[in-house]
Amino acid sequence: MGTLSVDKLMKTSTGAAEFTLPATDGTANQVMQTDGSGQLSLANYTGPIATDAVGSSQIAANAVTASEIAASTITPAQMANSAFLAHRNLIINGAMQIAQRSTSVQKQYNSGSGYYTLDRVRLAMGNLDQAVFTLSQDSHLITGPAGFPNSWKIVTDTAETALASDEYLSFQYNIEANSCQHLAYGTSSANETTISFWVKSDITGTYSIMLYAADAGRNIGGTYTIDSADTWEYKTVTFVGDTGGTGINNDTGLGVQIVWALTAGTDRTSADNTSWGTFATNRNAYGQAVNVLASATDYWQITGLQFEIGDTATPFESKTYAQELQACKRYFQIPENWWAHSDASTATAFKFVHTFPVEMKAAPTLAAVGTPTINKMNANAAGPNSIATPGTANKYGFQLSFTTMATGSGSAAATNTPYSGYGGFTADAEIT
Amino acid sequence: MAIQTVTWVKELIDTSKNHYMIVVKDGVTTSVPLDSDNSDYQEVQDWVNAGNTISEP
Repeated sequence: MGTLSVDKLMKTSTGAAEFTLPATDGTANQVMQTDGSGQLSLANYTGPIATDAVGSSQIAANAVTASEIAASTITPAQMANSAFLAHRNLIINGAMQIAQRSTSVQKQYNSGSGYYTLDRVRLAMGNLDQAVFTLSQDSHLITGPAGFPNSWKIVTDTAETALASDEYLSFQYNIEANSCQHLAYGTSSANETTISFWVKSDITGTYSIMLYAADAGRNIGGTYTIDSADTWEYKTVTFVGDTGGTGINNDTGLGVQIVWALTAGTDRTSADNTSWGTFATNRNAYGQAVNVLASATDYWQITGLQFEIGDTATPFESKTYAQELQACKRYFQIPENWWAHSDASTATAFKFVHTFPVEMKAAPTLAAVGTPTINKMNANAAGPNSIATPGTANKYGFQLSFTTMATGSGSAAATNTPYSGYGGFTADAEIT
Repeated sequence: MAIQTVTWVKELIDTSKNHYMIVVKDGVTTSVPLDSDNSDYQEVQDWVNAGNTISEP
């Protein structure tokens, strides 16, 4: 058959639509398009693709590879809510891997609020009069949420059976103020944030969670529900940004505090806190309907904490163990591998030299904890192994500070003697 | 929980100057630096403002 040449096609069965064919061949990969009036042409496709026109099921796996995306075609401004960007999680040690202080400790109703076991996470309590509980770093290599081998756990040993109106216990995370500046609180551009975490308890029901902006003295609350007992569940809670108040000071103090209520008397639950407002005690744990201290063996545990800008919880931002440990040491560390020299006339007073591996948030409080290992550098012999009253340091380390070493069961301290040692005291610059 | 006692520690060379504080709180002895960013130092200031006095060594 020879070549059939036409320059127009006409559809006549249901009308007189007429199509004029392109007069040229076009170029490779061009598509045929119409002007809506029957005039066809060959051209590059320029879109637009309508909203939701292409669903995920319409793009085959590996259909678009990196080599098919030209350089600079996707910019950060075109990505939604900081998704995929690094450093979006404001929480340090959210996977509960770092435990410099200890991995298990028993506390009770009058122990006071503080940082126990895991780094960066705080237990707050008040007015309890019965409860005894054990705090620990729980391990669940393949039985916990996928990718999270550790969690923070509280187990009730002795119940708080009659919860008075002023009694409370909560799990807290305190974020340094200078790390919160991009939240833009106190401005019309205040950012929405989302908290996500894995949680497990034998107590099902509604729990309160609260954000407290310390400098402005304002807070907002919400709730999450544990649906099934003894089952790891993933929860997300989103809070609007605080456009009121005075914002967050750009300093080393408390910026934003996140509070997970574990038990709360009616003094702390009576006022609706579901929108930003001036903090008051009764706006603390609105919606809290359960008591983790109700019976012996009751427990609550948490891991995978993430606090980020946006209305969507993105996948947990995993960091290396080393990164998390370094970050934790800004707030707490055990000074290792120091050297000291005793005073010429006083055997128990020592000048120290030690540089912290990480600059601390502030000059730390020092406390004698554990047993130091101390050796006389000029005699190849052991020295004292007890520190009675620690000296002082700045946020960079020790300079002329001194520590009073007691003998303990070690050898007597000597005057004018160089010593090397490690451990024996802690440096604490946590946010309270 | 309550601070029980606070005592000045003088500098080793110039004993006329305060170097840091020994604070006993809930039976635990700690050394608190003279740093306004330290939360324990802030707590001692609150304790002093409440009418308490730091002891001389």
